[in-house]
Parts: sequence; C-alpha cells; structure tokens
Amino acid sequence: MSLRLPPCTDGYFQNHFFYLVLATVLMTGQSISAQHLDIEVWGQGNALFAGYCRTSGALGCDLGGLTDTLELPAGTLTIETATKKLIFPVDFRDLSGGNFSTRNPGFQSVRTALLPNELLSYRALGKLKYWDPAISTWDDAPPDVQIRLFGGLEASTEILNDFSQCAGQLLCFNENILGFDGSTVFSRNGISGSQELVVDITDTNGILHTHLSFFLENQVGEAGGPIGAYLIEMQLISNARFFPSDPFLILFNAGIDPGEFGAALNALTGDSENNDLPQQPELPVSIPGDVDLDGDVDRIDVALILLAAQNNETLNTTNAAFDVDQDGFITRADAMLAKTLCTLRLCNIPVEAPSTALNVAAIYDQTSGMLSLNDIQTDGNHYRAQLQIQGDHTFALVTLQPDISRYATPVQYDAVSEMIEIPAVFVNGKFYRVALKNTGNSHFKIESLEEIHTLSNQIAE
Amino acid sequence: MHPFARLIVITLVVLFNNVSVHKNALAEDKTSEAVHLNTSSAPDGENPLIKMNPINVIGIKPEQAPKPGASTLKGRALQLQQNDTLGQTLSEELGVSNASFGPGVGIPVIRGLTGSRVRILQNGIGTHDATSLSPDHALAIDTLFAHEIKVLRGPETIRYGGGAIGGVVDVSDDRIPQRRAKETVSGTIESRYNTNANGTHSAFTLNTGKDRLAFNLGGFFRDRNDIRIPGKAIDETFAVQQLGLTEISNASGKIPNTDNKAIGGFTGLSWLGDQVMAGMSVSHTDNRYGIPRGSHHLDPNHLDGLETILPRLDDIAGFEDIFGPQALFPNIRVNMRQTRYDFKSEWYEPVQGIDSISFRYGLVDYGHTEFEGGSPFTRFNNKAGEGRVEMQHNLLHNLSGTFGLQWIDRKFSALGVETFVPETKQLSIGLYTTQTYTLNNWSLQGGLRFEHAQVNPKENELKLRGSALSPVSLPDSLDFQAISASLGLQWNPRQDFTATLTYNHGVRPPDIQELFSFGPHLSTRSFDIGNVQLKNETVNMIDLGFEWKTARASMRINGYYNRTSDFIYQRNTGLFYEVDNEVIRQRCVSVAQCVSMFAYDQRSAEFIGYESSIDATLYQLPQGNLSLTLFSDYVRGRFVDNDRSDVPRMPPLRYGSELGFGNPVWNMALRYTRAEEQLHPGTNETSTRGYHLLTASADYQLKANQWMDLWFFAKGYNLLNEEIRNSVSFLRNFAPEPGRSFILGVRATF
Repeated sequence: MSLRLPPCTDGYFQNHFFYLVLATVLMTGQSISAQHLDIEVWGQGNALFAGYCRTSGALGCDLGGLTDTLELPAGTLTIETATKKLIFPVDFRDLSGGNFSTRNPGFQSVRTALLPNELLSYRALGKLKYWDPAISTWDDAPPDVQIRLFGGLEASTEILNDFSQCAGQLLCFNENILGFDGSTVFSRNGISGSQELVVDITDTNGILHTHLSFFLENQVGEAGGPIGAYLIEMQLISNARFFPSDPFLILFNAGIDPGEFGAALNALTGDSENNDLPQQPELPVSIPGDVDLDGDVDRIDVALILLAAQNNETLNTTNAAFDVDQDGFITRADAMLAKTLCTLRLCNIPVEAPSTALNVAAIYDQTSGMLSLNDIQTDGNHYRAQLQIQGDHTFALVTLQPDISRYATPVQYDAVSEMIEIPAVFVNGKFYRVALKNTGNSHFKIESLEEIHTLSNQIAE
Repeated sequence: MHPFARLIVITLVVLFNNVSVHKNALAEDKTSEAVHLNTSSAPDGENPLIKMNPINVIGIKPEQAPKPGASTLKGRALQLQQNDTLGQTLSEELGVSNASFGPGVGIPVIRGLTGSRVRILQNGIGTHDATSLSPDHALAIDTLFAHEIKVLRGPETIRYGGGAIGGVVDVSDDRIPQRRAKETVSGTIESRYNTNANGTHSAFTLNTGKDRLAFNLGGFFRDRNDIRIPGKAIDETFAVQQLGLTEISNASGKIPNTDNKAIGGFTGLSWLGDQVMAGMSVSHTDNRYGIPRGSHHLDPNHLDGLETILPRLDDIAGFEDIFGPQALFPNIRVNMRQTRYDFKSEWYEPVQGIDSISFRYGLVDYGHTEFEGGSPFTRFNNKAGEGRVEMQHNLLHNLSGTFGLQWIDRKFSALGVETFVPETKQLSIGLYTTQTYTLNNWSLQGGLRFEHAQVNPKENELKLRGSALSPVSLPDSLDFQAISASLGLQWNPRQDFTATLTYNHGVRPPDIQELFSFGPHLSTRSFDIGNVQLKNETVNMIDLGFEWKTARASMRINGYYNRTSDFIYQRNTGLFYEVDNEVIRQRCVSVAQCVSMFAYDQRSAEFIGYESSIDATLYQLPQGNLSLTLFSDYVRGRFVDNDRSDVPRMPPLRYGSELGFGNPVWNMALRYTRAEEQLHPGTNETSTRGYHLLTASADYQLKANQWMDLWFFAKGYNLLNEEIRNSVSFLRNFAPEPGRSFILGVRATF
C-alpha cells in the first residue's frame, strides 16, 4: 500500500520553471517506463489470479502502447505460447535505481478485488532465462549472472516481535536474514535464497499497490550483466486463499533497444492469434471520480481524466467512470468535478486501518460459506484447513493439510479441550473473535462469537 | 558582567517606612539591586520621602569562586548573543554547539551531548517540549526574555536528574517577580532586525506593583522569511553518494520553507513578604516554523505514480492547486504551542542554619502539529508537571548545601501518521543533596541523588500502519532506579588562581523514545525500534580545570574524560523500510524512498575534550580598553568496544580569537572562529568541511532622558558568507547555516 498523497490545497501554481524542470526530468524516463506492464491481482473464492493492469491511461496499464513501443504487431498479447503464461515486460533502465535495478512491475488490486488485510506473497519458480541479442535465442542465463529480488520480510519467521526473544528490542531479525534469506535469487540453476517473500498487504478496501526491488548482478552481488533480455517466473500466493495464481513471467530489458526487446518478447509469444485474453473480473463500481478504482478520488484520478480528455477519448465501457458528470463525454469538466470530489487520499488524513490482528489467519467467505483457517497451530505444528458452514452454527472440515508457520497470531487448536480459538475473523466488515468446539466427526460448533472493536486514530489541530 | 570584574558584595539592610527588603530576596541580582536602591533612595530636599538607615558595608570580598563546570551568560554579552533559538544564542559558549534543524530549530549541544542527555530548563523547571524526542522539534523558549542563561556541566547537574547527565541549560527570565517594584512602572522594550530573511524580533516586559505585590507582563513577536544562504541548500554530492539521486529539487541562495513566525507572552504575580514570597506566572508561546526539505519528497522521480502521468499533460490550467510545486512537494510545517503555569514560593531563614526553603512547580501543556502541504499529519502532546522542594542550609560554619525533592509527572502522546512513539505516562521522583565544605583554600563539593522512574505505555501492543508486520507487544510498565553522585575539589592557593578537579557519576534512565519507538521517523530518515530492556546509562566523567584571573588577564582551561557505560545509541540493523510501500526489505532500488532501520542498543562510549580561553586587556586607553580573547574547544566521541567507531554528530575542533575595544558606554568586537573538518562523523554519516566564521558586534548605551536608557546594538554574522555545514545537525546536508547576516537593534529600559 502507499503512503497518502499530499492533499488538495488552495494554493496556486506559481513556479512554471519548476514544473518544466520536473517534466523534463520525468520525460527522460518516460519512454523507458512505458515499456512495462503492471500486474493486477484479484481473488475469486479460494483462488488467486494475476492479469494485466486495466486502469485506463495509467502507465503500466497500457498493453496497446507497449506493443507499439516494442514494434510488435497490433493486438499482440504478451502470453507465452507454449505455456499460456502471461508475460510482464519491464526495463532495468527505468526511472530510479540505475541501469541494473527496477521496481517494476508494480502489483495492484482494485477495490474489493481482494479481501481486507489480505497478505500477498510471491513464490519464485523456474530458472533464469537469457535472450542473447547477438544470436537472438533464448537459453539458460550465463553462469555468472543472476537476478536478485528483495521482497518484504514481514511474514518471515526470521522476524521476531517478542521483545523477550529479542534482548528487549521490540522487533528483531534473525541474523541469518541478513545473509541470503532476505532475498530471492533467480539463476540458471533455479531458485536460491527465500523462495517466498511478501509482496504487500491490502488495505481495508482490499486495495493494494506496491512494488518490489529487482537487481541484475553477478554472483558476488556486483551490479550489471550482459545486455539482453532476462526472464523469470513466479506466482502469487495469499494468506486467505488456498490456490495460488497461475505462474507468470517477468521479462526484463537489460540495455537493448525496443526493437530487439520486442523480438525477444515475440520469440516467446509467437503468433498470438491463438492466445485469448484472460478473463478478468468486471471492474467494480466505485465512487464517482475514482477512475483507478482504489476506493478514493485523488490526484491520480484527476490526472487520468485530464489525460483522457486531452486525448479526446471516446466513451466506452472500459472508461465509463471517466465521464464523471455523465454528459456522455470525457472533458476537462470531468476532471474539475473529480477534483472537487477529492476524498481520502487528498483531503483528509488517512484514518488508521481497523485494529485488526494484522495477520488474520482466518477468513470467512460469506458467499460460499467457507471458513479458511490459514494457520492453525497445535502442539507446535502448523496446518491449513477449510471448514464449510452447515447451519445451526456448525462447520464441517473440508480440507486439512500441514503447512509452515505464517502468522504471528495463528488459530490455536487445543487437542485436550478440542477447542479452536480464532483470534480474529473478518465477516461483513467487522472482526470477530470466535471459539469452535469439536463435536466429533470433523464437525465444529460455534461456542462463542465476540466482535472486536476497532480503533480510529484521527488527529485534529 | 565583564569576566575580569570582581563583584563587590554589599550586605545591606534597608528599612523603609514600612517596607523591608530581605537580602535573600535579592539573591539573584545582588549587586545591581543594591546599587539601584542606594541611588533611588537619595534624600530629596529637606523632607525626604524615604528615610534610610545608614548602609553598613561590612566587607568587600572577591567574587565567589565559580562552581565547577558552570558558566553564566548575562548582561551585555547575553543581549548581544541573543538569537532566535537557544542553541544559536549559546553557540559561542565554550563546549556548547548548536544542533540546528534549519534555522527554526536550535538545541544546545554540551560537550557533544544533547537530546535526552541535556536538560533545558526555564527558571529551574524543564521546558517539557518535544526536543528530546526528535531533532526537528524546536524549544519552547524565547531567548529575548532571558536575563541570564546558566550552563552547568559539573556536579551541580545532580540536582536535575538523569536527564541532565550531559549538562543543564537554565534560562532565567524572572517571569515570576522576584522583588518588589521599585518604580510604578518599569520595563524594557527591544526590537531587532535581521537583514537575512528580513527577520524581526521584538519583545517587551513591564514590571509594576504596590507594596508587597509585584506584577510582570511580557510579550514577544518574531517573524522571519526563508533564510538566505551562500550556495545551494542540499549538498548535491551527498545526494548522489548517499541517496543515489542525480536529479533533485534543490534551491540556491535560500532554504525554502524556513520561515518562522512566533508570538508569546507571560504574566506573573508575586506576593513578597519579609521572609516569604509566593508567586505564579502564566505563559503561552505559539511558534510556527518550517522544516527544510530533506527527508520528504526529495526525489522528483517518485510521486506515487503521478510522475508517470503529469509529463503527458499539456495543460494543467485550473489544476495548479493539486499539480503545482507545493502540491507535488509539499512543505512540512510545524505549529507549536505551549502554555505554562509556574508556581514559586520561598521562605527565607525559617530557622537558624536554614537559608531558605523553596518550592517550585511547573505545569506544562505542550503540543505541536506537523503539517504536510497544509494538512495535519501528526500531533504531538506533552502534558507534564514538574515540582521541586529544596532546602538550602548553612548548618555548620564551613558546611552549606541543599536537600531536595524533585518529581516529574508526564503524559506524552503522538497521534497521526508519524506515530513512532506510543502514548506513554512517565513518573519520576528524585531525592538529592549537594553539600559544600570549605576549609582554608580548599572547597569540597559533593552530591548524591536517588531517582526512581516509572514509564508506562498506554498500549499493550504497537502495530505498523499499512504493514503486514504483526503487532509487537509492549510490557505493562518499566521501573528504573538510579543513584548518581558527584564530587568536586576546588583549590585556591592564590586569590587569582583556582584549580578544580571534579568527578561526576551520573545515571540516566532510558527515555520514552528509546524504549518504545516503533515506526518510520521521517525527520531522521530512520525507522526506529525501541528496546524495553535498556539499562540505565551511566556517565563517569573526570574534569580537571584551572582558572587564573588578574586585573588585566585571565586564563581558563578544562580537560575532561567521560566514559559512558551502556551509552544508548541507534544500531543500524542493515535492513530498510520502504516508506511508500510500507514494507521491510533487505535492500531497496530507490534509496530515497527507503529509510534505514535502527534499533536502540547500548554500548560503552568515551568522550574526551577540552575547553580553553585566554582573555587579556592589551591596552588601557582613555577611550576604552583594547582586549583580546583566544579560545578553543574540542570533543572526540568514540564507542569503546569492537571497531571503536565514532559517536555521530560531534562538533568539530574550534578555535579562534576575538578582538574587542570599548568602555562601559560602547563596545565593538570582531570575532573569528575556525572550525576544522569533522572527519569522524560516525558510521554511515557524512563528514563536514571546515569553515571560517567571522562575526562583528558593536553597541552603544545612551541615557535618553531621566527615565529611559537606550541601548543600540549591531551584529554581523558570517561576514565571509561561508557555506557552513554544521556537523552536529541532523539536517546538515539539506540545510546549511545562515549566510551573511546583519542584526540591528535597540533596547529601551525605563
């Protein structure tokens, strides 16, 4: 998630030179930044999905613009023909971090696409592939080059938050984490380091927008590597869902021109006529002016509407939200109206997220009636389980599988009392503390249900 | 007071018709008060309104031997030094530096120590602002009211508790009247103008009263634009090397967002009896200042995604308020306000052998709100009550001293985005005594203090906003006991020579932020992690000093060694916190978007240093005296174990000279200070270049009429217009010290 943007202010633009400089600085990285696609994530039931970003006009969400830049045939879908895996191109030379590191692709989810406080992680797969522009072929990467990915460490068992285990420190880190395990290394030999690390956690609206840190380096960690294109594979996993996303590919441009990079991509996609655009869920209806569907109206929304108006975009089903005044056209008046609707991220201090047990180990899907217990601790072992509601406050155990420890406050199962203690489960916008009693025959009955009151943390002068 | 002068202490008892002034009521300004009384009560014709008894001069004795490690700035020297911040006001004092955070913030650094180790007092009671919490928080003191500023470094600090192990700065402004009104109305009005940033700073005090009642009123106003500097605000070498940024939003010639506006005032009322006085004051300060751009929005490449859209927009007319510079890179502003209620009562010579019993209590309601682009994002509150009961005795012929009880009850909270410290209650109680035994040419001073502190966080756990990190638990409460002791031996083999050897064993319980910090701290570009098992920090300092004074010359040198056990510092964990994504990583692509994660830890450290000065009257001419002062100070701080790395943000070696010429009516002086490079900046810190600082001052005293004295003064600061990066400043790479400045002012005393 992102820190909020500064608010709408009543001041007036006074420094044109400043803006010119800013634009100049930004334009230098513009064309390179345009060569990437962000990853949109959503959940359906117990499954997680990854697809193309669809925020109209936003950088990283313009598949058509990307194919144009890479001189690919119109309508090309970045899907690997052989495996049907989506490909997300990025460029190491984008805005920040030098020529051998990048924060792209971004990961995002629109409003309600994921559950509140859903923890997303990546799982690294496969091995590092390399496109040699000299011979225009894909092969395993050279032995002395690797891509190192630094993910979030929040869910790592190497992070301890019990001061009694940390010599008094409120938070400490296992010394091993400072070695190899704080990152994931993709090389020709496969994956080393941590295979799974955190992407981020969604906010209370299920919205997520975040970036990771990718570095191209040699085996001793020095930045750099042969020019060409590199390919890695990963999938996303969630603490709230059993099934990870389908694996997808990230294609890195390491110093070759767009045409060559397009050739590298084309070698993977082949004839894309046989590829179908993956089915993505319908965009949710958000508040007026929220065109990027992040649950509020902020400066990005205003800028996107302005851009669409500038480009004389015609109204269609994908950009219907841009017509804020609903006059049938996308104009500057829509942007102006969106500015007046500016809400949370611009006009108010963010209200602190509800006081949840941040790593909610339990999720209840009201639609399916499925209670997912994603970390159950009993006698030092950890499991995952799913329970289906049966009526009469009873759940039936559907699946049960061993797992690793994933949460600071896991669900506890006491084999003696046969009680399941769920510290927090999210149901219909509220959090509850629940106790279930094993009634035998893999059935559990609700013994107690208590709402956990949340705190807000507002300030006023 | 001129350093060569000797005070003539006149013990007098003046009996008016029905008014008597006890000598102890004048204790803080004996000389001036005595002289003034003598003058104002001269006979008026044959029927004097006031009849005086003869003044019995019972002796003239040399100035009382200075307390070891103590220095006092007052009178003309103070008035010339007074500046917008306390740190800047004291920056020419030996062993004292100014920890600036832009010109709006200036905290005194004593012998390399500041923050939780140096107590800043206002009339003996703590300021209880948020300066110890973060270096970007300003002191809630306006120096223009100050009558006297004491800097204590030695055994006397034991009266003020663990928070004073590095020293004490006590600003006295007599807002609670100390003496009966001599005139129907008296007071001062002062106004000064600073050419740098068009700064104005004005203040007034009014003193009035009748019989046993005395009433004080004071107010100040300060206004300043952005500070002017000779070069660029941000050190671009630093931006490239430390942050990896080649394109930054930098300013030249001034530091944007450093303007400051402050207003405040006080009123005080006292009842002054023969042996008892009681008084109170109410004061309020409102200070609004900006923080130079540093930790926020330095990287123009990152605007949370907006940066990818804005360059494609041809026309933003009508949207400048959200896409203009202020909206894209909003200023950080601090609105601070403090209301104080101070109470004081003293009972002089209640019984034989007891000089006085005094009571002081201060109730402080402090708060500041930090704004980003005009929108509040964090609110700090500190409500504190501090009291002190002290008895001064002279029970035996050669033995005098104090017994005291001090307590502080404090409730701190920070709400909003930057809540890196939880709401916490703190209660500390200290019992202490200081005793002085004199025998012939020897004086032995000793002090002992027992302190108990309890720190109680309101929350049971802390969670990180927007992060997947699970909440961290907190203990219910923490208790600390500390026993501090000091010993000082002073030897005066000759009337003009003093040798002092002091030993100070000061113990400081950990402060709130050291225990409970948890979150990104943007002003220091760090993610702070508290440690609830920190032990007391213990200073063991030996100070050897020599002072030689004659009518025309004086010399002073102090050398000290401070070995601090369990020195609390911030250890770099090697991990980063990505501020915009709110994620912990081992490494970041964009260093500008990440802050290092620091954990509070303890490690022994040592500080070695000296302060020295030589004053001499070169020529005594009819027009005045030509005097020369040479001075130097230095401190080197290192951790003792392992790599013996540097304690960060130490002041550099300073030396220089001051040439003065003047008489009691006018003075002028030229002062040159050379500060060497600071090549021991600490791990992951940047060194600072040396600089030449040239200042000049001149003042003239004029008796305008029978009821008013005028004092004109002028001062030039940084006349060479050097780019000065202050090594003790957190923000040195983002905000240099002010460039060339001329201050003109006048003070009227009536």
